Amino acid sequence: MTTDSNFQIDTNLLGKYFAGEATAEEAIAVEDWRAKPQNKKEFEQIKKIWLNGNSGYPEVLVTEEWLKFEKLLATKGKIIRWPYKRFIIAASMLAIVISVVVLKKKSGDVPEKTDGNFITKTASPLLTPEILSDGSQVIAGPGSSINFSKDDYKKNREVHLNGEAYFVVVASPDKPFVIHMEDLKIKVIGTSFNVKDNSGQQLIEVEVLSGTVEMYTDANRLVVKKGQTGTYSKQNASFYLSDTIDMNSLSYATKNFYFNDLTLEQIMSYLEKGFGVKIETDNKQLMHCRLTAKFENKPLPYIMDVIVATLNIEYTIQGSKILIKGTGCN
Amino acid sequence: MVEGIFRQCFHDHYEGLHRYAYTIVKDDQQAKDIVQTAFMKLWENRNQVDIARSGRSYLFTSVYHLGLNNMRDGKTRQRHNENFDRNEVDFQYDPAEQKEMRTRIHEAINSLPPRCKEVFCKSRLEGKKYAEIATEMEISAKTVEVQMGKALRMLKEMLADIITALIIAAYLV
Repeated sequence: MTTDSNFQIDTNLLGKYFAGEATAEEAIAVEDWRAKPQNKKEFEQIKKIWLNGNSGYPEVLVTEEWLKFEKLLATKGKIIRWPYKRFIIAASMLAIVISVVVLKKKSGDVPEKTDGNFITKTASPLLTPEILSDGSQVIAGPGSSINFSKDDYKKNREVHLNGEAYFVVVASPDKPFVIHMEDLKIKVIGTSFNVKDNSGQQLIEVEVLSGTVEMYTDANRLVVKKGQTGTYSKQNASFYLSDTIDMNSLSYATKNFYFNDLTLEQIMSYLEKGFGVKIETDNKQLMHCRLTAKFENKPLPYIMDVIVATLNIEYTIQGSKILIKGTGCN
Repeated sequence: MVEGIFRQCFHDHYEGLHRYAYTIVKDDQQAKDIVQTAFMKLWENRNQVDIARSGRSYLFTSVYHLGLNNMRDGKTRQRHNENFDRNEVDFQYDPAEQKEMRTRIHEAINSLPPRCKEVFCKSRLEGKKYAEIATEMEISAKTVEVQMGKALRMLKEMLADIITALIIAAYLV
């Protein structure tokens, strides 16, 4: 176990290292040695033995630590212009799905306006995607709208969002895609995410399906990665990060539903949002029936057929309303 | 220009520095604070230090001194012991295999030759520095170092069959 440095890396030195007795030079030698893949394995073996079988500390996320450092610098009154390109974690996914949901009081649908340059895209009845000039797509959720200037969009991709939307953003490192929601900005390099504003609770949620997204205000910022949900609390002006995504709340855009032992009540509310319908039942007992099923890109009648067959109930469609009937479920 | 080099340095060396800091203070949050402080010092001296060439060595030396200062503080000593306690508390949340591994490791440690075992236990379980152990056992610091190395080597051999499992567990974490 030798390295190019002056030190012999053997268990004596590793013992010193793990015991916290290593000098700076010795620690550097250990790092150089550990950098080689075959040595890393041995390093981890000894570390595990040293830790008595425990796992030690949670994984260090350098990007988060860097953001902390930037904040530290900012508190000393220094705003630095950092060269961005090389250091961004490569979010090489082509599509960013940001589900940004901002639920404001429903003020009625705003018709699409175009004065040539300034465009307002609202939710279409069929919830179909709008294609932007760079190939990015937006699906505005029910009662929501996106605002942007066509000319400006070519230069720097910035949009304003009211409500909820599902974005598929084409990767373009030179021109980050930025969504404005009052004082919160959500920056995207190339990813899939959903943005949601629970105005009633003063929260804005960003669920990232692929790639990486940066949420930031003047005071604070949060990096949200694939599979995570970042929440911004307007009241506390603070960010929270969770390692889960509620896939079913994105179904209005993805057309996929994943019901994992959910109650009919929960399923009904996801279907209502996903298809823009109302679902009612005359038997409250049925709300507690549970179901596990996966539906990928299936039409509503199909989904209803499967549900009623599984739970031994019935349904009828009246316009945009679905009525569920039955005496109980299996 | 120097901002770019500094930032690259941060991304290249943060993890290694945190690893090192942790070995000294044995506390994740303290380790993070120390590394942040080390980088802040480097930042403040960015025009006096050739970061590309000497940044790493500057940072590791910083961490060394900051770590030792931190340990001299009585509070860290106590936290140090709490860390060991927390490790034991981990026990109850582990699945059966982890428990078995833990038992195997304990047994292996118990079967070490007496002096070897004593040195290892004083360092690993009682958190004593090599210098302290040397004084207590009336041996040289170099002997302490050699005995520790011997302990690790023997443990590695005794646990060779479950080592792979340990590694898989380590990577899954």
